[in-house]
Amino acid sequence: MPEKGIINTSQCIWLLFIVIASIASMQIPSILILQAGRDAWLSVLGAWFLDVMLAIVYAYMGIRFPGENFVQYSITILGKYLGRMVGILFPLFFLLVCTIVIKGLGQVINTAFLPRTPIDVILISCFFVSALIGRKGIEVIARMTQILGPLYFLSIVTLCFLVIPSAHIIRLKPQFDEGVAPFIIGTPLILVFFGVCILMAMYIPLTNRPENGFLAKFSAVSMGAIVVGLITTFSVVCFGIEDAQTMYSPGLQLSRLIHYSNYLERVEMLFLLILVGSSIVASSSLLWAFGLGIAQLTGLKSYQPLIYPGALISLVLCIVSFPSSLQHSNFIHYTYPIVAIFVQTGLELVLFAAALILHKRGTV
Amino acid sequence: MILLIALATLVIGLAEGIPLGKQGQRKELVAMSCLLGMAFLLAAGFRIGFPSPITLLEQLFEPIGKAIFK
Amino acid sequence: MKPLRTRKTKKTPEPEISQPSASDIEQKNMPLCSSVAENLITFQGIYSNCADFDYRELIIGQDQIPVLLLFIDGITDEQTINQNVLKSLMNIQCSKLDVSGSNSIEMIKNVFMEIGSIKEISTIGEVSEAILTGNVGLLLEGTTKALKIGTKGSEGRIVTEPVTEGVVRGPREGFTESLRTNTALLRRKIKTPSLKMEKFVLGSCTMTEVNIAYLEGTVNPKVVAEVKKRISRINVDSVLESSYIEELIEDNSFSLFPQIEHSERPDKIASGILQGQVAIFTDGTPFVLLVPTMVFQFLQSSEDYYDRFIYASSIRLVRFIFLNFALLLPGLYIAITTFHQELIPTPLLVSITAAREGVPFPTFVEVLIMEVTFEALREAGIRLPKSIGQAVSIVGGLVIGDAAVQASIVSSVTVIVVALTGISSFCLPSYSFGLGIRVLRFSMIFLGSTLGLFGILLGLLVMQAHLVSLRSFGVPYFAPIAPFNLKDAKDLVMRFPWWAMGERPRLFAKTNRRRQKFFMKPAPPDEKKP
Repeated sequence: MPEKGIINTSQCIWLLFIVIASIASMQIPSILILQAGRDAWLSVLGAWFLDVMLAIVYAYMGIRFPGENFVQYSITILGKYLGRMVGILFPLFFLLVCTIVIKGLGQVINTAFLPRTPIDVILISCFFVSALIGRKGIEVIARMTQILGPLYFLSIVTLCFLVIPSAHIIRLKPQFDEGVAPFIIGTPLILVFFGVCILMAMYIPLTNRPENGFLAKFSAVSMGAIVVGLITTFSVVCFGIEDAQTMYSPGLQLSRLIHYSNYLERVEMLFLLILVGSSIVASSSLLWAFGLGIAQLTGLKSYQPLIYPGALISLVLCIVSFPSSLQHSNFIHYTYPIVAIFVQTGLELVLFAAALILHKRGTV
Repeated sequence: MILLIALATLVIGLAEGIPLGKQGQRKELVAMSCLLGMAFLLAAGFRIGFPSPITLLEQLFEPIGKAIFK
Repeated sequence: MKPLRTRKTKKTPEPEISQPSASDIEQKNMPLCSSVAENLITFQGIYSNCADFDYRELIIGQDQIPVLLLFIDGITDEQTINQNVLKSLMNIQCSKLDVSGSNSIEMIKNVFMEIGSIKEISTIGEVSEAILTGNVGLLLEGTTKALKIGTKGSEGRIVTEPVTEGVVRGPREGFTESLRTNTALLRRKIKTPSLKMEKFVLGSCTMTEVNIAYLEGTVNPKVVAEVKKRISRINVDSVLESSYIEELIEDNSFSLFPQIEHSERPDKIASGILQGQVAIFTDGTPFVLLVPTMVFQFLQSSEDYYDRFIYASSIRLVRFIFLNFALLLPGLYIAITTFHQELIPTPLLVSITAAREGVPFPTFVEVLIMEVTFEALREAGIRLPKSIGQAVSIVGGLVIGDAAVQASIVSSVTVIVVALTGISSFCLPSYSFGLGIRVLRFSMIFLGSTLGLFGILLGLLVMQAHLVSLRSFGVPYFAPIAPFNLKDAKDLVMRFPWWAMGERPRLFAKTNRRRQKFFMKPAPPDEKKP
């Protein structure tokens, strides 16, 4: 095993929470509101339920193949060649998610912090820092999330508490005015963003109690669902669906509503700083997962040398694939869900079925 | 931009490669160089009008996505 | 003649300092001669050109046996030699001593010598070491054994109030340069035989005595083993201060943050040992090291435990806030005034702009000038005598600050920011931790001036990643926040009252964690449960 660090259950929870929250709380609420309208909060609930169901499969596989993550057990189940072909999809998927996250982050920073700085500079510095953190290994990432995770959660809850005066509950009504179709389509859309915590399969072999894998994922997804649910609901009740679905990041707009006695007006900067920090840490854990996965597939002794090259690939992808923010949101909206549902649900269920049919089991 | 990527490739290659070479970890060195080469080729390919893999994904899956989502 | 060094000899590693030559070792292990005169010649050879080497020959017993006393002037206690050693030897005049054989030396040791610490030794090396550490070496005609008589005593500083860590309430004694005084100060606080002190001698030239002290049964044995392992691998020629040891045993040499705490307060060291840490005493310095160390210890002063806990907790909170000021304030000021003016409330922005009227430099240069000046003033003030130091601060504060504003070279807001930063950096109880913050402040200034708030955030992330990746003797440096532990967090930013802190920190004391009985909270008699 190239990674020697050990994490405990609560660190695992925060690791997963940071990944979910920083991916799903920036642009996703507006896409979700566009898709599901006033039923967006119900879609979040539905996605939460489905993801917990999915977590059972992942947790079971983690226990069935002790000490192995999905890159390793896909080789155990499907053999040397087919297993490697399936197994490499997971690290590549993490790299793709990392690319999307940092690109989105770069756009937010460019609009909110540094309008005159070229976005490439921002992207390079983001990748540099997240690769630097990722290279230090899982223990360091876990401790970073232990500091940033609670801050993030509290800041979102406080934010929603403070915007209550601007909220009008009447805007949530009527529910299901276009039937159940928006809800049913919105559920998988948000599920694919919660689903990035298939990263848990990378963490389970490293936890000191692998049997708590399900508990960790359950708590993390619940917290993530609370955060995303709060942001979507409050965006709807504060702005109405017509405005909320055209916003780039409704969470950021929400924080702009906060005033404190006409003096402190730009509290959203604080919120944004926490958000940027957690996104960088989240992408460092994605880079770490990419490096570790590739190192295990090729049988290397250490994964650290692969982190910076991975970050470079991701940076190049960022620059060459999304010349504008429109392409980025289009990709998130239309292409990413299909790819993600294939990797997160399809591949894992295939592996699960294959393990049951072929009677494969991990060796202790 | 391509120059910057080339420079980054070089810097990462040297910073990570020299210790690996000293420790005699050949396999790691090869894997790292492959990834770096991939990054550079992606950037160079884009320069001469080669589409990025993400664009390929987009062409493949966007029609399905557009059919399902609004 | 010295042989010329060729390339070949350069390549073969030949540490000259640490390993004495073969003839040296041979001589050290050589047994003593039975003749006093011959021994004297040997020692005079060893200590040739040593002005402080001294000896005394005398004759004792009815049979007129020659005796030789060897010592080094100045590090022995003259009074003890005169009144105890010489007097007891002279008193043997009428007794009969065995001329040949070692019985007489036993007799001197057991019957005559009026000295507490006395030991039989037998080689030249042992005698040499004994006299170098302030003892008297007693050599007797007719035997190859010698006596090491404890007469250590040298002029040392008396126990005074520690200069670097003063308190309003609390003990006022500080460690001195003498190792035994220091261990005595500790032993006077922890009166139990489980307080162990193990001796090491470091430095081939300085032969500095180093003691590690720990509380057996409380301390984590793995940490003690690790400390011993790291100290025994030290092989240098000199150890003049505890920082030599610190740099040779710390985990990450290139970190800006100190990973080993030091203190000159016996009460602080005692409280550390009582919660399961290991103290490292070095002879010749009042600074005692304490391992393992967590970063939050640098924000705690020993007075926190002597004041009422509510007050102590609020003071700690203030310290914590001003730590962030010391690190971030100039960087934040530059970032906000150059990149994010919209963050500043309009009236404040107006007055900042008015103050900057006519200043020719950008904010970054302005702040950099003032910060560098401030660092220079601080450095100048430390080394100078107190009376001139005051003059420097007057010149610095009044003339440079006020005149620079008057001449509109810097704006008054910048002076306020730099002054506030300076005051904040004095709020840190630990000097060595403050040094790291001082260096980091400049990197924050650069980051803030290039990438604004985003740059500062990146800097903080990198710093945080470095902090959580550090370990001190196997203990995570950023504990108990990350990895989080609720029970250990009772003594962090908050200082819980003593009756609520029933357990020692988990990371220091692995097994024996309870330090007091349950329900120690005091209550008036009528409310007490039966």
